[in-house]
Amino acid sequence: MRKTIALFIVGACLLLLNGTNTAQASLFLLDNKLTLSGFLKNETAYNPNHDREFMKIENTLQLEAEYMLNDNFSFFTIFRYFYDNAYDVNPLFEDNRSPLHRTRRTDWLRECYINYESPSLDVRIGKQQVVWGTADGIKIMDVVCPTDQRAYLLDNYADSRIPRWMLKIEYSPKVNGTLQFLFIPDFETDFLAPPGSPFTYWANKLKGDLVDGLNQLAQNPMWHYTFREQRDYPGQSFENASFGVRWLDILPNGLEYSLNYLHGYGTPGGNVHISNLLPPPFPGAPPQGDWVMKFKYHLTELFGFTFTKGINSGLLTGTTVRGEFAYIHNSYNNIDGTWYTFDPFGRPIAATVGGITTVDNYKYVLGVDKYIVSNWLASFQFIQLVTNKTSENGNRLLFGPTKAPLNKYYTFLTTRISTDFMHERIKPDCLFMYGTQNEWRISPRIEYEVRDYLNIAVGGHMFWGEREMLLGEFRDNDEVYCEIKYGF
Amino acid sequence: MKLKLLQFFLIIMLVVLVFGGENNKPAFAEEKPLLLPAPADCSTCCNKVNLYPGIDVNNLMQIKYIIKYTKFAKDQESVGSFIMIDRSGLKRSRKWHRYRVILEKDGLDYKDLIVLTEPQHIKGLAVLTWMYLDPNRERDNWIWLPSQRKIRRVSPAEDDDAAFGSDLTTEELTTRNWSNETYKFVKEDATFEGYTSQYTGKTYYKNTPGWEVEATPKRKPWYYSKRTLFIPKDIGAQVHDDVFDPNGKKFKDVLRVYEIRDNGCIPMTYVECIDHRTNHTTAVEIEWIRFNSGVDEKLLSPKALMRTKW
Repeated sequence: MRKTIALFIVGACLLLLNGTNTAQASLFLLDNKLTLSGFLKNETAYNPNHDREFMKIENTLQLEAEYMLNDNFSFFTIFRYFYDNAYDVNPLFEDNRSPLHRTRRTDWLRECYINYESPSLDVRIGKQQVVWGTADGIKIMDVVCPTDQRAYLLDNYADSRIPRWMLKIEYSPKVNGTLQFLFIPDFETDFLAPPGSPFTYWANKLKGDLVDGLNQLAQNPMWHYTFREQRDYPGQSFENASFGVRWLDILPNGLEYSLNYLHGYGTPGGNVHISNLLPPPFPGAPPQGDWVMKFKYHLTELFGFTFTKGINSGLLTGTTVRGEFAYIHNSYNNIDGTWYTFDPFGRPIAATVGGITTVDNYKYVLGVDKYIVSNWLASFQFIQLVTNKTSENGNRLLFGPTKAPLNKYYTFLTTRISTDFMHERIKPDCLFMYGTQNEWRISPRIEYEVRDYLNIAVGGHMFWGEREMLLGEFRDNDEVYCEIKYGF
Repeated sequence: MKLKLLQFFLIIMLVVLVFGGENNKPAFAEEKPLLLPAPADCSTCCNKVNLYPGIDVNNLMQIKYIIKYTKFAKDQESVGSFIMIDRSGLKRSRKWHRYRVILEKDGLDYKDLIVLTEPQHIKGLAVLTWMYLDPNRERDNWIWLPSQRKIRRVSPAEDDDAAFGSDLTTEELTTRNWSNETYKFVKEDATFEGYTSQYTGKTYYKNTPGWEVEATPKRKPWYYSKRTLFIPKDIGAQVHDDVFDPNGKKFKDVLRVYEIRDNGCIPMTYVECIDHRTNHTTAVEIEWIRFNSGVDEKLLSPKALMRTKW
């Protein structure tokens, strides 16, 4: 670990000493057909509360390569590798060091695709990001690619989105109208931080506490406790593939809209099955048995639309209104409760803790953006998340991130204020997010362009609210951070 | 309460969408042709500006905007860079690739796409602008945000905001049009003493004959009270502006260098702007520019921004 830090510091010093006025440009090779660029970045985040110390000391190297075969065909790839020293220096996270401290599996291949472009037809095949929607601070339509939520939704979306292997075809039958078709044979879902991570969802923390407790009880040879996790991933087949369609158009009055449909994987459903059930060994202990935590993944249907409109005349000139709406049919949701199976003599022999039901979700955001006083941009959003039911057969549905009883409505208001100074060398920005159940998030950030190739940013994320709330659950996770990025 | 809030927002949005429409009045009526057609057998030739003898100041300024926005051509593609130099001599740069299609139909004036290609931290940032023929109709802007890999319809920047962090304001770079100012000749037979660039060190347009025009903004109060333009007789667009603040004190010099091509095209090849209040300089170097190369209008749509790989 010390080696890594030392290497980064030496590297950063060398880069800082590397001339003062020269711009670092991309590298052009093979008769300008091959372009190489990239960056080296350090992100250090510190939690000033509750002795949590470092939340992140992440060093990232990214290399980007584009090869133009001709005017229409190109090949593009991004390699990324990171190492997070926080898992070395913070004992709170050491259980997760192995899975989280560096790039997972083949994630070093961030993007890799062949691209065909022409005025009417674009085809992109390979590992890529596809983005729908434009909301700040929350994802409504931006669900084609799942999200790496190890840091909740605090990372840049371009960095936290998990690219997928897919085929993307875009056909433009008219000047402004484009039909997009996606075929996604690759299965991937959101990555949620496991228990004992900097940004573990409260629901995952509860799961971790349960597993720890069972493992401790299992130490006693007199008692019968086993635990395992079972994830029923869908097999690789055409039936299990996702696909999406989007029509994007601009009307003569400037109203831009899109109609979207996605047949893809939603939130997994998870519950606990206990077999060989025996009574608890002492009062207050969980029942003995073979505990299996099962996760199921299933396909949902998303129907959505987005719109944006710039107001070009009248009193509201210069105002942009935008919105996105998503209806997600057949989404999994957890239910509170325990169900027993009895033998012929009426004795319980198995139990299921927590149920899974299907619900319909409605999510939408309405936003207004306007420059006020030269270069001060103010952006307001009204966000609402709605579920069609909050109970089933007398059992309460649970809110996924915290496992608190589900509310029918979750309403959030956001404001983002951004500006720039010194010819865009200094760029302050602040996101305020308020949930109507009295929860808050405030995320200020200031970027400073030291040189063309060297940028520094400082900022923070602060959370308030009850533990059962989306933002409130991170109330102990306030952080201040610093980023240094060297581009080439 | 939540449903009421929703209703309130929906009503507001509906009002905005319905009443946020535009009218498409023509900008102005022309009495004399300001552009003479290019030879029919020359596909890359540009229409020629008509600097007829005794031209009045309003027609001259209309020609100036034709040249500024390259309306003598059907389309243009260019590569260039901004160099920003602060008082300590520190240089920052932005390299870009730009496309423009002149439409002048269906209410649309032109569409413009600028993609930043250097430095790395803003690589891929792209701004798409649709300008309308109606001078009272605000432009439409989309921006591609590389940090989020997504497109955003954005409110147009205020006209007095610095464009891309340069010393040129948004209106100086892209939005100012003929109807924003009133004009009068200061001298119809002036001779320019020349302007020496701080960045290149060269002296441009020394002893060039031309018109001296005073332009006064209609908008008041505004960040400048007037500007004095020098327009050479052989170009028809200003090569130098003296810009004065609301107190009448000169605060900015803007130099524009043009290339007069045989095919009638008059591209701007260099721009330099010095803000004397901050001693900050911006130089815009055009590496290459070509006209009538067949840029497709479909490439100047939001879809084109979504193609961006960074």
